[in-house]
Amino acid sequence: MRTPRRDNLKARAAAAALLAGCVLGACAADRAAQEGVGAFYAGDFASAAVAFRPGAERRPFDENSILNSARLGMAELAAGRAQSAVRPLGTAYQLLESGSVNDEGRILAATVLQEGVRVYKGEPFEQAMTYTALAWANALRGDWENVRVCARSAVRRLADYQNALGNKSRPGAPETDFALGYFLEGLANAALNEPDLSALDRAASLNAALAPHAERVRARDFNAVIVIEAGRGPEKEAYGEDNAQTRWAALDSGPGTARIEMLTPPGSAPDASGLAAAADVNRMSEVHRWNNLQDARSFKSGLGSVLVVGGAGTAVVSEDKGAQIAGISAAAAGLLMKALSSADVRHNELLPAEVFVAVLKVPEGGADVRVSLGAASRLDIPGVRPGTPSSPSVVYARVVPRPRLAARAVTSWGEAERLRRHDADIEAERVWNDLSGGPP
Amino acid sequence: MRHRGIKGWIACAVGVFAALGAGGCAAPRVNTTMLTTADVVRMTDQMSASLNASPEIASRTPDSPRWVFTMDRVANRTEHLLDDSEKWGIMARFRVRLTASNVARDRAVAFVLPAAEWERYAREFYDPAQARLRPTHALRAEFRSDTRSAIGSRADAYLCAFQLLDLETGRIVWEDAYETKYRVLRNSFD
Repeated sequence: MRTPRRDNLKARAAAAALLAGCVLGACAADRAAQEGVGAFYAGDFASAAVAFRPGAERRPFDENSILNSARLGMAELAAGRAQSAVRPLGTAYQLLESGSVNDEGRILAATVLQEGVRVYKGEPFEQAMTYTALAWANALRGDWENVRVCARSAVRRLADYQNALGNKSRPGAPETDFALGYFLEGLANAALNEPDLSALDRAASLNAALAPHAERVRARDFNAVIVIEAGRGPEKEAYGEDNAQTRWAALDSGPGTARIEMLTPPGSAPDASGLAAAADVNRMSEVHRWNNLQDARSFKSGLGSVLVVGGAGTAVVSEDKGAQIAGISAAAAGLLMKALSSADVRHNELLPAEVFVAVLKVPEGGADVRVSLGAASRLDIPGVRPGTPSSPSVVYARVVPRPRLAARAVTSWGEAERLRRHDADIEAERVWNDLSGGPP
Repeated sequence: MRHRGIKGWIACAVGVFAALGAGGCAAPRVNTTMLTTADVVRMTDQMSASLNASPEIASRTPDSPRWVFTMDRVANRTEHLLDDSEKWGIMARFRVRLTASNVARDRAVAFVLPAAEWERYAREFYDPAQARLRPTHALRAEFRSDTRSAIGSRADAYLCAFQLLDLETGRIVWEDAYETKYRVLRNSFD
């Protein structure tokens, strides 16, 4: 026999269970993401991808779909599965390009309640790096048309935000300072035999290190592209009263310098063009930001403080019971408001600290290539095969810093066991030598 | 009485917060300026009808010298992704529409795969010099877009141009285009 009271209890239990389920589900997803980040920086890219997959493949989309798709794509790319990387990165691309992914309810909730309900798109530089990751995945597959689309999307996104902030570029000057984006566009145009290679000029004018590589592409005097993404990108952190402000903290400065040389044929000199530091993500995080909710958070925090002080004062001073209750209520509301004014610090933890690029002319029989990062680490890439200017070989490696040991204040660059390549370009054996402690 | 009023305000505030938090947020959805499946259907329908109606094709009979069409995938010069399967898929539907209209039988036209595709399927007896029908014409498509983007919106005006090219003379025998335009608005939270 059903009774209204029992129904009421059931409804409350169901609501509580639903709420608990949502909270637990969110916690589980967050835990999985953290496990994925941990695995990624331990060099276990495949396990990282497994951890990110459930969040990335959740349908319908939620506020973390872009973040999780970008994470999954980057982990797949690092694990050497360019084909598998394209799908989640393509989903991230589509959602990033979508208009009004935050509907009115979400905007109101993000402004009044918690910023975390907003659909994450990331700071402009995070978006640009997501597009860049998709460009690398497409380059590994030989799809240079989509490389060009991704490169132009990255540049356009940064330029859109810059223009919105009133930082318009001078007439005739590059729209943004993202030299890597221009270089990728020029490289793609060269591979597609397009006559317009002006993007290479823009890349060279913005980053002198890219100039010799741009020249080599322009002269069609290359047949291989080496990409090294190294280190751990910056972390978004909250600070200030009620953690209402945000800033980006550099966790890792990257190797700083890098060198590339072909080991075969024996006696080959180091490549004169070197390995160009094409993008410094820590610097990008300082420049390419979009803080449109910072004022709302500060306002909430300030109002919360006023309510707490005013409400508590009223409750203490007044002798009227009603005023005391009102004061306590106002103080409670103020505390809630202060708690809700903390900033959303979701960010993509898988971004590199630095991106290095080189275009090479590999001899006909192939070559072993050595990449030296910083003063003490090197990466040997055996058997790089020559492509052609229209279909260059592509080597991509994601190098992560070895977890720091408390006993040693040393940053050693370690274990890129998943160093990957274009399927047809490199033979199986891949070696990482760490001069600071690994095999010679 | 006064307590009841305060309780009412608190209940109201909690209700608003709960409604905002629980029910006010719709799942984000893809809403871009990319070409859609509907565009592919419309453009291939229009282009096949246009090619069939062109004087060069309409004047042909079953006894005309055979024309052999080879098709390449779409060349994407737009500002949006188009993956290989989509590029081939568009041309495949175009060919299917032409085949369905009996152009092959009534206008003496044959279709062949591009050489690389043919080699992939017939590796054992691939002999470009002898076995393959020699293409006389190429059907090709090139998509371009005029893209305008700002923080608050993006607009893409597409020109999807199709051509029938005489491979001996380089003459463009037929040409038509499908045009469409999309625009999305973004709010400052996007």
